[in-house]
This record gives sequence, C-alpha cells and structure tokens, in this order.
Amino acid sequence: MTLRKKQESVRDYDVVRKTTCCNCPTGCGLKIFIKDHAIVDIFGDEEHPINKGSVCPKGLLSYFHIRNSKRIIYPQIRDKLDQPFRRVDWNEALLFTAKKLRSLVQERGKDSIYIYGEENFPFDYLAGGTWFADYLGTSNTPARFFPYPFGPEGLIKGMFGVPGSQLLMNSPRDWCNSRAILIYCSDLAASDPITLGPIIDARDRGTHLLVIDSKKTATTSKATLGLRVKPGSQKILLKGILHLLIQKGQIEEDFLKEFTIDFDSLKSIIEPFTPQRVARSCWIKKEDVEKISDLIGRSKPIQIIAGDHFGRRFLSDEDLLLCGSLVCLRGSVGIPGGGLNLLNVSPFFSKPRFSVNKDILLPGNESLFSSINQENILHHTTEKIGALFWYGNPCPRLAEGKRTKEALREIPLIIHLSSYPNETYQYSHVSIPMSSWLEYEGLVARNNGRAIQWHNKVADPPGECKSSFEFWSDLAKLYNSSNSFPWKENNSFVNDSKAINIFLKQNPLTLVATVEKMDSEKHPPGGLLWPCTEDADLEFENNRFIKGNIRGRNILFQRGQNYPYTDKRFPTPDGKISLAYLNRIKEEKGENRDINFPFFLTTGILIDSIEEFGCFVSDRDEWTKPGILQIHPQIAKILNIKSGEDVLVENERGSFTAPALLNEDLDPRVVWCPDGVDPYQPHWKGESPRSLFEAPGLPDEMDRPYTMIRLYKPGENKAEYQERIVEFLKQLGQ
Amino acid sequence: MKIVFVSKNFKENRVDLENGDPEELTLMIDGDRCISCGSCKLACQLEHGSGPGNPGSVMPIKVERKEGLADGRTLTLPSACRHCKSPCEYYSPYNFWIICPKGKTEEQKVLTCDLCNDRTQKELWPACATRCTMKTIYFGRAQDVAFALREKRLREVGDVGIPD
Repeated sequence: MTLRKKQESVRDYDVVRKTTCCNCPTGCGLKIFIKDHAIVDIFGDEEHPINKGSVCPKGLLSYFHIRNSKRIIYPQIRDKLDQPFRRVDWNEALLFTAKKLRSLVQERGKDSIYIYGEENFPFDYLAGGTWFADYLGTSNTPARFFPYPFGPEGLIKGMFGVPGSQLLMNSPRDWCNSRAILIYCSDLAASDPITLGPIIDARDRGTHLLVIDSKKTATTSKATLGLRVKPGSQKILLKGILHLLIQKGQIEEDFLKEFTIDFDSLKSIIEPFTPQRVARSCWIKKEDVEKISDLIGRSKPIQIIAGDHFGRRFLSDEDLLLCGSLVCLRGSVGIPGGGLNLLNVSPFFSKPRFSVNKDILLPGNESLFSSINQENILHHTTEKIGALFWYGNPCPRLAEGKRTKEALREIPLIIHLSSYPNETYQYSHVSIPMSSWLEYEGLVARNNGRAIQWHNKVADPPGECKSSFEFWSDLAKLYNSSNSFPWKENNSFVNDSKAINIFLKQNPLTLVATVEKMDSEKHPPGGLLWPCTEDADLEFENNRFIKGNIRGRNILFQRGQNYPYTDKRFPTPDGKISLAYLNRIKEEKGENRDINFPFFLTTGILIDSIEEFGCFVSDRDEWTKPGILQIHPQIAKILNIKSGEDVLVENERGSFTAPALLNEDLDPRVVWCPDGVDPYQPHWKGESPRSLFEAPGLPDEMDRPYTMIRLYKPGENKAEYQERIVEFLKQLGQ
Repeated sequence: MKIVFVSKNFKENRVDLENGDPEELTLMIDGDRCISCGSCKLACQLEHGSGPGNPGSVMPIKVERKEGLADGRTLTLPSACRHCKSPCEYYSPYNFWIICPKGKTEEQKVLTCDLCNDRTQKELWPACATRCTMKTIYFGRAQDVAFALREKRLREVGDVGIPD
C-alpha cells in the first residue's frame, strides 16, 4: 500500500475546480470538489507554489460560510436606524439608494458622499467604488482611507521611490536565501499563517528568525530570538539595533556609498540610542538588544517582513523608514535573500482616482488626493456627510467607539455591502447581500508575494447575493440612466473578465497581464508577479540567483536593472536611496501614563478571523476556553479573578466587560483582547477593544497600537484593588 | 499504530521505528512547526461531517512550559482527545492522539481518532495531515517515518512516543 499525501476527497463529486482563496493576502490555491453544483469538499492545491496543498483555518472556514444560515442573502432597507429592516428585492433597494443619493447630492454637494475602503476589501469593491466615486463626482474614494504611511504621501516613497503599498522587494520564493529574517510587529501565525511557511522552512535550514512584537505570539514561539517589547516602543529597539551596527562597523559601506545619500543624518538621529537607553524604554535586557543586533550584524543578506493586513494600520512612517534603513545598512537591497518586504501589496490604488472616458481610464488629479481617517471625518465633519458606503465589518475597528457611533447615527444614508448582520450592518439603512469570492470570478490583487491571481466562480450565490461590480454598475444605472457601466454586456450582466482586463491594461505595472494568463485552470498556478511590463515578465525566472515558481520577476532593485519605466535602479529623483527622511518625523506624543490607567490595552487578530465573516463563522466551540481578555496570572491574582470570570475594562473613552483568559506570555503591565469582536456576533460577543483607543487626529498620525486602561472585577472595591495594582507595578519598576 | 512527537524541546530519543514492524502506520508531529492554528481540528470536522461549534474533533493544545524546555518556548501540539468524558483517567496535558484505549462504549469508540480509515483505505493520508497549515504532520509506514525522523534527529531534536 502506498500512502499518498494527495489533496483528494473521498466524497462523491462530479468535478474539481481550482480557484484562489481571498480570505487573506497569502493567496493560496484551492481545489473545490463539486457535486450537482454544490461544494462538497475543499482541499489545498498541491501544485500551487504558495501553499503546496496546505489550507489554513481561514480557507477551510469558507466551506462553512457558504452554507451558513445567518448569512444575509436578501436586500433590506429602512428609513431610520431605530426602525426594523424590511426585506425588498435588489432593484427596489437600489432605487431607494439612488433616490436618496440624488437628493443628498443636491442638498449637501457631491463631496458629502463617502465611499469607505480598506486594502483588505475585495478588488471589485475597491475598483468599482473608485469608478463610481469618479462617476458621481466625489473625491472621497476608497483609497483615501488606506493607511497613510503606505500611500503616495508616505515617507517610504520618498526613500525608495515606491510607495509602501507596492514595496515588496523579494518574493517568498527567495526568502530561503536570507541568513536572517526579521518579522516586525506581525503575528503571521494568526494573520497570514501560510505566509509563515517559507519562513519556517528557512529557519529549519539555519536562517535566524527574529521577531519583534509587543506580545509573545505563536509567531514569536517559532523564532530563534523573539523579543517582547513595551507596546509602541518597537521603533526605539530598531534605533538601538542601528546604533550598535554603526558603532561596531557592521554596515556595508560600499553599498551605502554608492546607492544611498544622507547617511550622516541617519547617524546623528541614531546616536543617542544606546543599548542601555533602549533596554529601559523597551522593557527588555541590554543583552537582548546586543544579541539581536549581533545576529543581524553577522548575517547577510537580511530581510525584514512587516505590514501584514492587520498590523499595518499601527505602523508609522518612522517604523517603515527605520526598517528600510536597516536593510540598507546591511546592503540587503536588490540581492537574493534581502529586501524590505512589506506585505499585502497591490499594484493598484497607489493613486486613488480613475477618470472614465468611455472605455478608457485616465490617471486622476493627484493634487486632490490626501489621506483621511474614518474617525476623523466622523468626528469633525458630520454635518457634511450625506452618505457612506462600506463593506464587511469596519465599525468595531473604529477608535473612540462611543463617539464614533454617535456620529454614525447622524448620517442620513449608510449603505452596507453585507455578508452577516454584524455591528456595521446594525448602523446602516440599506443592506445589500454580497456574494462570497467562491460565488463570482474576479481579481485577487493584494498579495504577500507581489502576485496577482484570479479566483474562479465555483458555486452559485444564494438568494439575491451579487458581486460588488454588479452593485456599483446597477446603482450607477439607476442614479443616472443616461450613462452605463462600461463593462456591462448589453446592459445586462457584468463581464468580470472584460472589466479586469481593462484595469490591468491601464495600469503600467500590469501592462501585459491578462485574466486568461492568470487563470490557474489554464496556466501554471500562482498567477503573475508584477511589475509585468513586457513579455519576458510572463516567463519563469531561471538564472543563477533564482528558479522562480511563479512567472515574473522575483527580486526588484537588482544591480544593473532599472526600475520599470525609469532609467534608474531606484526611482528617486537622483537615483539613490535617501536616508534623510527620518529628519521629517515629528515627535510622537507619549501615552497617557496616568496612575489611574496603569495598563496597556493591546489588540490583535485571531486565526479564524476573516474580514468577510468576522466571528460569524468560527471554530470556537464549547471545548475552547471561554476567556478572551488575556491578562497575566499575577494581575489576575491581585484582582481576585479566575479564568473565565468577567473583567471590567475602562478608560475615559468608555468601558467593556469580557471574560478573562490567563496568559503568562504577556507582560503583567499589558492586557490583550482580540480585534473584530462586536456585540452582535454569535461567538466572542462583546464590545470591541478598539472603542477605547484614541482616534488619530491627522492622517499622518498612525493608529496607536495600544491605549491606557484600568481593570476591575465588576462589583469589587475599585480603590482597594487600584492600590494593590499600583504597588505591584511599582515593584516592576514602572 | 504509533504516534511520535518531535521537538527541540524534548531532549531524549525514546522512539525506535527502525526495529519494529516497518508497515505499522505511524503519525509524526513536528512540535517546532505547529502554530496551533486549528486547521487539523477544522479538517477533522469537515471530514467527519461535523461543523464549527460541534464537539468531537481534533483540537490544538498548548503544552505548559515546564522546567527544562529550551528557551521557555511554548509548545503547541494537536490533540485528538475528544473529551467525551472530560477529564478521564487518561487525560493529561500530554494526552495527544490517544486512541482511547478505554473506549468501551459505542459513543467513545465513535469519537476517537481512527486515522480517517475511509481515507487510508484509499491510500490517502488522514484529513488533518493532508491539510495541515505548516506541514507539521507526517504520516506513513514506520519505515518511511523513520527516515524523516532520522533527518530531524540530525538537527538535535528529541521525541516522545505514545504507546498503543
């Protein structure tokens, strides 16, 4: 008997279809087994170069999502938020929306219409929404809401000439060539598990795996050296590493001399960050600072991985610039095993606007672009917001939840592209049922490997669920019947392939890519690596540096090669990497270390958390420990709390209660609660921890990765426990 | 069948796969790669017709940090204990993948791991091993697993075997 690790189902099926998972930016290949048009099994595609047959819980949960009885499958509308929804058909819901939109545009102007976007949203929502914004004439396109440091105004673009949203220098195929990999503030084991695969493979072959994070996570547990730092202090540790590298001469002077400028300004910024100072600020030992610096200093090439789809919202300009400086100092740019690899990249939306002239898309007016934060517009411009479009479940992720939700109530029209009756759905007037990515075909634009892929339709959507392209095109038609969506065939159905081919052709970075070339049922799986600007980019690389397993260029910024459409290796004004941008960082305001709020509340993602599903589809069951608010056992002892008992968490912005889960992987001064919970989900029901966070005031202020809180056992004597906590924390030296 | 766990955190080599029955079905789990994602658990539920929220499946467990574990790392390992009667006399933090030797009732027999008998009959790996996110689980005949185990021992790992 020969036992085969074959991705094969033992169930009865007619046909096997291949598609690409869209639940995270890893972009795994899946084999879907179908019987009588219904999905009966899901396995990984063993031929797909990214996952090679593996499937993580996010992908497997899709099987349970498509048949979940709680899914929203019919349109619903209501005039006011305190009224119940009433079910209507697709046309009536869109007529209701179009009529209200016309009236709001007349009353408040076109710029009162906001089309919210996050990088994690499906491509057809973002592209269709951007097209619709232009069609309507509003400047509030989805990309305006993307994290500022990764956008065209982010300082990393000035450093390398490429925005952070497109800066993944070396593809995962090359990661095994690194001698040291630093994972910076990313819990890949929870956010993008299969992306961790090649990193663990590299580690097993002798690569040093280094992790810096504010919590000991499953990712940290796999590291050669994992450092748990004080929340928000990771930048200080990077400065300490740079300080030691410069002091010990562990820098690649030839590379710095030939390809960078302003090294002296970097040196002067880094000078004060001695190991002693860094250790104190980061809550680690001086020896740890020296050890991690030594491992980096003795390794070449090194790569840094940061910016996973969850954690990137907490990364600032300074974080990205320091990471970029570190790879430059080690001369690890444009070589195998090197690179600053920011995840969740996409060749689209570095500019937020398209102008549509029949079938032609023209670059938009960049001077109109500037980043905005959702909280910012809600808190400061409520009188101007007429309508808000959004998708998935962004509501629980909004900071200052109480204030933000009060502002939402003032908005006359909120349209939610829904999958489940989550918190965002509760704050909407129109709910439009959305197909899952298994139920329509489209582009997988965001990726942790710089690939673009195609996902095939493998099942019919239930009820009246449709794709986002269908929604935007039908709404445009009803809003102004004299125009039509350019990719609708005879004004009936949307031709997704035609639409995507036009977007691909109009994007210089995907000039030669087509839908047909990406389809894993017709061509080698894995899609295409971008930039793909000439026919040679449609072939597998095969040279002395790399044997590619996805068609396209694996390593960017190589010596002797110009960046596409430029005559320079680095597309900066003078062709060199500028290390001076750190000078432009304004001093960050410190946390409120009021004695009344002695704990850091941090947040993170759960392995089974997916934007589309939230916690409506989860593998949590009665066997899982009931706690979700992670606190250190020493703190639990002081507060007289046992695992599973409720804890009250509060600060000046609000409060919530959650059952405790004792975890000694945390620093006693830190408390952790998963992101994405809301009071309407069947699992992990509760107020989101983000509602207690401070909202960023300006677009170039990042979301702070923590907020200050206090903890109590409900009903106990607050003052007494507060005294004990303060005493305990004094003993820890804080 | 045999179950073997390997990890840098284990300092002893106790398992001998080379001198026993070479055809014996063996499951090997690499604790250094397991990230406790729960994919094995979901794979088991999907395969056996259960769904999220329903009991009776593989679950990932965290082995508590004990003295002697290198770097104080937390070890996470998949467990097929179905907790049909929790805690039973066989339950312990190291109760991984026991084929419930005391399963006397029909209910207990149904809930225990059978290595996906309907898959192995077709010469396919069990569902959990096929779908594992980090390729943590290796399945095969003892002689094949012995080969993989030798490779891992070269990297100075120890192992723990679970008796039948």
